[in-house]
Amino acid sequence: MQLLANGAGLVAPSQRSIPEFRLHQPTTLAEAVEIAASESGNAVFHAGGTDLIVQLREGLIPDAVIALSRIDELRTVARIDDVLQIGAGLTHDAGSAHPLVRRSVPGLAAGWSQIATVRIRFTATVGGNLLARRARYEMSILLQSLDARLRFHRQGAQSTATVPEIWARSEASRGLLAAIEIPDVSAVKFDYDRSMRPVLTVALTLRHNGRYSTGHAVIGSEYRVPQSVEFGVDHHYGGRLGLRALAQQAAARFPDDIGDPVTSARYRRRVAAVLLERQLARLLEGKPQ
Amino acid sequence: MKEPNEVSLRVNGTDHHLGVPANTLLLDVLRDRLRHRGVKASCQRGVCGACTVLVDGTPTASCSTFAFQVDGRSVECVDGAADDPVLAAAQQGFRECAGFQCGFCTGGMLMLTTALLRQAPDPGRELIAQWISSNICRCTGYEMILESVARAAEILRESQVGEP
Amino acid sequence: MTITAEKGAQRKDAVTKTTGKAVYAFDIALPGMLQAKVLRSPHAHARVVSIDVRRARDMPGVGAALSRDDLAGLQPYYGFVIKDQPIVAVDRVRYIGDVVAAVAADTEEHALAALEAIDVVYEPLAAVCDVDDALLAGAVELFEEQPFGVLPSYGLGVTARLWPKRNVAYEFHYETGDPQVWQECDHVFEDSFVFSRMNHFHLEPFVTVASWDDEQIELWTSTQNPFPLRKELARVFQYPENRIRVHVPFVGGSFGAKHNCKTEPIAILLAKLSGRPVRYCLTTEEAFLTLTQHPAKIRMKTGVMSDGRLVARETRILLESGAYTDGSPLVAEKAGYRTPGPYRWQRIDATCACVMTNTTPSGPFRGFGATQVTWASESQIDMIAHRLRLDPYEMRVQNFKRLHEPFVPGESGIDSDLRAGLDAVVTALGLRERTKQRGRGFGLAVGLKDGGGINKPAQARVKVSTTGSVYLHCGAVEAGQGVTTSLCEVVARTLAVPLERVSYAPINSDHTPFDQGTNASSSIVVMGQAVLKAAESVRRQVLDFASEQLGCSVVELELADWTIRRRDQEFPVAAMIAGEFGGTGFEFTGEGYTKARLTPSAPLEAQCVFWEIGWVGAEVEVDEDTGKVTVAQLVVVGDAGHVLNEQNCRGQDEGAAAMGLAQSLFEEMRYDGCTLLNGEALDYRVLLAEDLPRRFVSITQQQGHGPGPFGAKGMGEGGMLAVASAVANAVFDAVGARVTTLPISPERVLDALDSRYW
Repeated sequence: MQLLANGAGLVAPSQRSIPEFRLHQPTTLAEAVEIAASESGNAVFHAGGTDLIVQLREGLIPDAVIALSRIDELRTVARIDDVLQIGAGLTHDAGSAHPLVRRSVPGLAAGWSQIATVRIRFTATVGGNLLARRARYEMSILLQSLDARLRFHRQGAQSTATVPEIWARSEASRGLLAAIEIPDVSAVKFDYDRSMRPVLTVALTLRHNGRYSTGHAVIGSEYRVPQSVEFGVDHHYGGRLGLRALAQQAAARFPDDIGDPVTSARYRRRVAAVLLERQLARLLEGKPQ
Repeated sequence: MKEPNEVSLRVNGTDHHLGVPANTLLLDVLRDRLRHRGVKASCQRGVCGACTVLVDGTPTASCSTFAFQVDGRSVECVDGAADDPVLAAAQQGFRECAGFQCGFCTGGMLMLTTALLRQAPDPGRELIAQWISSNICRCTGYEMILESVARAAEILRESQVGEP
Repeated sequence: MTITAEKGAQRKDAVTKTTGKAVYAFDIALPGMLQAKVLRSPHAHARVVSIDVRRARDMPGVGAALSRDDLAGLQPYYGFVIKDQPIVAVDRVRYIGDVVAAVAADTEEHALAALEAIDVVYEPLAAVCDVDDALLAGAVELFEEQPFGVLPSYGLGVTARLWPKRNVAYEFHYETGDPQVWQECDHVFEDSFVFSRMNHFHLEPFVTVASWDDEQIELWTSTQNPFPLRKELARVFQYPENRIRVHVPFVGGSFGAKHNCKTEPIAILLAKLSGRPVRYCLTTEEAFLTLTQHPAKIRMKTGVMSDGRLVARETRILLESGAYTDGSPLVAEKAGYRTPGPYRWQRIDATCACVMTNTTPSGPFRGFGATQVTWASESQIDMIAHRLRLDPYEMRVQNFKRLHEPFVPGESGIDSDLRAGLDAVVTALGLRERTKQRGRGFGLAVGLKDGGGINKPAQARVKVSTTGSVYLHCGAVEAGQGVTTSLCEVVARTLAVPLERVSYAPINSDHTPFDQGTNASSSIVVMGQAVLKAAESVRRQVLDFASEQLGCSVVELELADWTIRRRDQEFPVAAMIAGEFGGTGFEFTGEGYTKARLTPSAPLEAQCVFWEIGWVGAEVEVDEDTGKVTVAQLVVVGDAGHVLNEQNCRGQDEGAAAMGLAQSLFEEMRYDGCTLLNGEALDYRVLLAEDLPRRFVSITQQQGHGPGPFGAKGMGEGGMLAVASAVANAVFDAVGARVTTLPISPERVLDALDSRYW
């Protein structure tokens, strides 16, 4: 649905009324970036298209669409130094099954392999999932927990952004999301619990740091932007009771924003503590799911 | 040299060269230009799967796929592809086990089934349920669809017995 | 899995629907057809100060634009009982999504552009977003003047009022028995329940293609009731019925939504104004703004003896009807009237009110009032059993009505053995063999509704060509339930021909015999009887003809496979026809008609045709840390009376149970004030295959007491009624948490767990 600018009412375009646009189908990243610059800002990138069609039906009117499907560079995975680089154009299906992803961060591959549906997974990309900016899409939850950096390319420059920053600004001002970079993967243990989806899901990253680990928990849900809590984990955490206390203390720090008209923040904090305790046990004690 | 808006695609084995504006979706090419009315549209945001077709064998929501994306590719949809043995087995399975009621989701369910059986000729219940969860059926409660897919796999295996 | 009679014939629509050839109203395209789009209110409640569509008419490609200024000469308000919904807004808009104006253009894009050229000035009004707001003393009223409505004539124990109080369109009251019995009860329990709101989510959208040529209105539309629709359109357009032709191709799901005026009036009016055929097809997002199920608040008071004998029940039900009444009064009748459920009482006192709010109109939805009241009733039975330390199964059985015992005084008798159904659930569930385990629980529930509609007529025609091809003409709409197959099966059995020989004629209101609508699980029992009579009439005519031809008595003859048998002699009917009528041949045609007799003693005009019952059992696992409920087993039992097509019966019960399961656990329309939060396919979660219980069993019984052909009963709604309460009862059994608000969300389970201790 769209609310007309004059306030006269709501209208419901179907897929038949997608506005006309100039189509570009570049084959390299550089070419895509150059086209984006020449289209003076009012161009959108098209990867899987799953969400772009929705946005077009809801009133987005671009002058140009830059289709990314011919750019192989966007579908590479690499591990350079200790950074895992994931091409933003990888589909959920291809990305989660990629051997380097599975080897580097098995928990990410496992979590990623479960999101969306089989059919969507063949089409939708990790970049599209992030930049759709829909709370119920899950990749932002996983990647925020992993402290991922998003690498944007624009003509003559590159920049990075954190995952939470995507909610604040549109990608048009940044350029093309080329890759997602996960730092220090050799020090990372990761778990994603979506057993309570869509009421809430929790991603947890433990980053090994000498005698301590740092924990980064992110809670997501269907209507609210993901929220982070970071905490320290002493390796002598004191058994299951210690984990419980740790999980409860961490979950208690999630802000009230995690509540919505359907599910209270109080409930989400309480259950996040339950999930976090289970996740800590899995990561620290190798407890099976 | 091709016109900028020209798209070449193969639909159910027949090649087409069409001039279509860039903002045209595959769904509308199939339904309006090529008269494949078995491809339905419902939610128009890629969720329900009533518009599912196979693009180079991959189940795809045609409502969320631009025609330019299938340039040079092969599309299969439920109407007119009966000579494919896997689709034929899927259709037979759905008929025998009544894996349909109103029929509006059925074309999409059959294409999903066809793609599944091509990669997993003997899928278990869990795998079938995973795949069928891609699309919405509001009528059946799914159980009879799951049985239809399992039966289709059986039909396919039976038909292949004795072949080299 | 299923346990039932032998597998029936393959459905008649199997090939057409698995090859993509089945045609729906969605697929109809006429030469020169325009596309319609509408402008919808952004306000929950506002006065329409001014509206001007003149600029829109001058936009490229536009054939017509309409607003309230184009309704002259029409009766622009429609509705089932109360005529309150205008074709487009007249004085006010009453919910977000209310239609304000419409345009038809050569392309959808042009239609949308034209909508942007419409000027509307609104003056926002206070809005009421739920029943509590709407009933407040100073609440804003949705209607300044009470819209016109006509009450049906009711019988024993029923009274009803239109507009009894502020924002209440209709109130139904039923009572029977002596109020003094309350004094004799050992215990009186009062509990409150909240029933959620679902969207029908039929996959084929609301869609109509209409033309208005040569003084003939012709439409292809996705509807469940072409004849009442035609009547309503004739009234709205002040036009003779014989110049309105309604075609109904396959319907891609409806579940109650597709009754009476939906997309039809706007399509027709735009066709008239433009002189071109018009297609008006809603998007899924617009369907959420067109019709929903009724959410409800239910207070239930039950008097009971210490041994578990039920004595008296009082229900007070508030149905949220949204901004226009649609079918609300009829749903309210049934929600109130179905208060007794399957049990014996000495006193029933039921009131149900339709409360108007500034939200999407509510209307018919699978289960039709029975889902709402069953949620309260069957939850409360378990609550009472627990309070009295009785076994919920035993308490149900103790209070079940006997076979043939009247539902209430003046009503027909219950036509199923209630215990036989429940015992089938218990066995399939393995309830007797269970070992009590914390976190795992079992729940039972029984839903009951009067089936077959009230005072519902149906007509059918069967004709047979010279060579023995059989045609069935009747108005039952194929919306997926398989009715065309089952009704053809009635004909095939009666004429003793293979099912393949019988074809189901397309529905065209000019020559299809009259029918009141495909609803109320009525097609087998009501239409089925008309079809049976039509087929029997043909059979009789053929036998009479043959007896004349052969010069013998009819009793010597048998008809099978379009051949007359007289002892060991065979006479092909085709040859006999040729002998009498010559080479042009002849068609035998039989008519059938049925309707329940009007019974002044019956509370609702006529006695109920049959009783549709769904017995349900659930086994759940509850995670006490998170409140998450996992349904391990769901068992649904229905009584088909006699199975005409096994797969159809099973499909109806499982499809209905699946909707009930989704409603139990998560599916609901969510509002923030008057704003719908999840009105599209991604945010609105329906059941997917992965949500199925590990074990999902449906059992179709054939108890043989049905009034339909060969002892059949109707199916389609019973399986939905009791699922939510069975799940809630199982959750309570598992962990002692009683959830009385749907859906049974994890948060509600934890809240109920927390409140267990006080």
